[in-house]
Amino acid sequence: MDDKPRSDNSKYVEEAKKRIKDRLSLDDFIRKLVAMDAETKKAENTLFKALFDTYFLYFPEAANLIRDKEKFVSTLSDGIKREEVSSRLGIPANSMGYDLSETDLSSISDALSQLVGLSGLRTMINLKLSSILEEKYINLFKVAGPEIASKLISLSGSLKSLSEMPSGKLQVLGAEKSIFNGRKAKTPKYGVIFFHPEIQNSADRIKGRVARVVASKISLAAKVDFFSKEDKSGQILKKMRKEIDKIKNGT
Amino acid sequence: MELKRVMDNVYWGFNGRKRLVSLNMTPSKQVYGEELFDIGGKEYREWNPFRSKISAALYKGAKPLSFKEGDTVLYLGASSGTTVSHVSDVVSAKGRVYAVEISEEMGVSLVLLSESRKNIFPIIGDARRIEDVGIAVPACDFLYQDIAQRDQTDIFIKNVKKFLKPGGEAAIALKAMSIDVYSDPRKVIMEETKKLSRSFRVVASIDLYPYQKGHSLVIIKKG
Ligand SMILES: C[S@@+](CC[C@H](N)C(=O)[O-])C[C@H]1O[C@@H](n2cnc3c(N)ncnc32)[C@H](O)[C@@H]1O
Repeated sequence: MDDKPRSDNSKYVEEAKKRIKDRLSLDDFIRKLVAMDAETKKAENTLFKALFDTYFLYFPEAANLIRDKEKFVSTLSDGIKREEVSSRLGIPANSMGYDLSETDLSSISDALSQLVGLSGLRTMINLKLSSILEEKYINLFKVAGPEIASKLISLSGSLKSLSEMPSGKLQVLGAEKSIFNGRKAKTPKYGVIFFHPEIQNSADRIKGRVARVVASKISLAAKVDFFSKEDKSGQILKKMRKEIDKIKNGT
Repeated sequence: MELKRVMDNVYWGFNGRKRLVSLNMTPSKQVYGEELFDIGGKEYREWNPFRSKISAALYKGAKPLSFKEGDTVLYLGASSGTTVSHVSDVVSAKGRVYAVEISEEMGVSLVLLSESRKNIFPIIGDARRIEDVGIAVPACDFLYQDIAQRDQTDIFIKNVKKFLKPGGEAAIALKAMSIDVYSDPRKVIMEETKKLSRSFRVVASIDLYPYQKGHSLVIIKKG
């Protein structure tokens, strides 16, 4: 390239483009989807809080009964007026709340559909993540489940780094992150794997030991996905069951 | 606007207030939203001290850096190319800027910039191991580094030794916060400068406040 004119950078530009393309991989896509899910969840919660407060102002007696987001949405989705909601909840329609006009109420309705839209978006993102994992990382999909698997890949940066990680570190991956705000003090022994059904369904006193087993099997699953891509999840799950049963039976 | 030369293709422009500008190599094109000026039939771009540490150093009274038209500059930590574009103006079509950036997200803008500015040679890779990229980087007349990493001084020393021509100058933007969060920034900068002086002659050290907080630009000369 040295005999080309002095300012021909095309070889460098092409090489740089190639390197960028190589590095923007499936694992990055997974990471972006996980980030999008987290941001959407935040937006959903923020909007829900604002919406709840506004609705409380209008009909506090009803709002009090539907503080939970899912309940709030399902109760109000077919109409938000006091006459409609009161019969649905079996409470009187007259209220201590502030009387809002038709237009104000229709703004609240619009915001409510945005909230429903956000939760629909999250469903879509998670379906996408689940289908990616099932297709590409079957062992992680089966052993960790799609949600935990995609979070682990996202936190570690890639399947490769997850597969190289000691299982003790994998066990606490995500423990320092905001999903654990508030729960942090109680569960220093687990990161995102805390939500694994095997751990959730174990008695508190053995949770720690079960978590160790789950982490080691997820670590194994990541290795198999990285190195052979073969579906060995049946064997891994069987082993996991056996080891957990042993803990449960105190042997 | 009246112009007073600072470095090749770089001027202080005066019209009421004083600002640094560089001769736009790609007229009518902005790189980062900077202002463009037409003066005597030529177009200049404002070189914003809040966006670029080299500009900040000049605003803080640093003597002009030693690179010039036709030079080869090695630039580590190119990011999206804000400062790189001005360095590219300085060395002009006769020179070259080899611009190393590790992040592919920043790299995208850098590569697109390099398509319109043929004197920028983008390299996507780690400044710690430029040799791993498998692409030739020649000896350079000037080296500049701006990467916020704990080991930034070591990276700089390694690359100056390897790529800078003897007798050449180099500059590093030191960020105290990324080296040591807990110590007094001034002390951190002093320690790092001391480290540099073990390998090179330290020519100047400029605190970039208030344009860039917690940053100093240190200029060295290779023996
Ligand atoms: C503060 S920004 C540079 C801003 C740029 N010099 C400008 O003024 O336009 C630091 C950049 O260095 C990059 N960087 C960090 N570590 C690096 C490394 N080891 N090798 C190459 N680039 C690195 C970062 O990705 C980031 O884009």
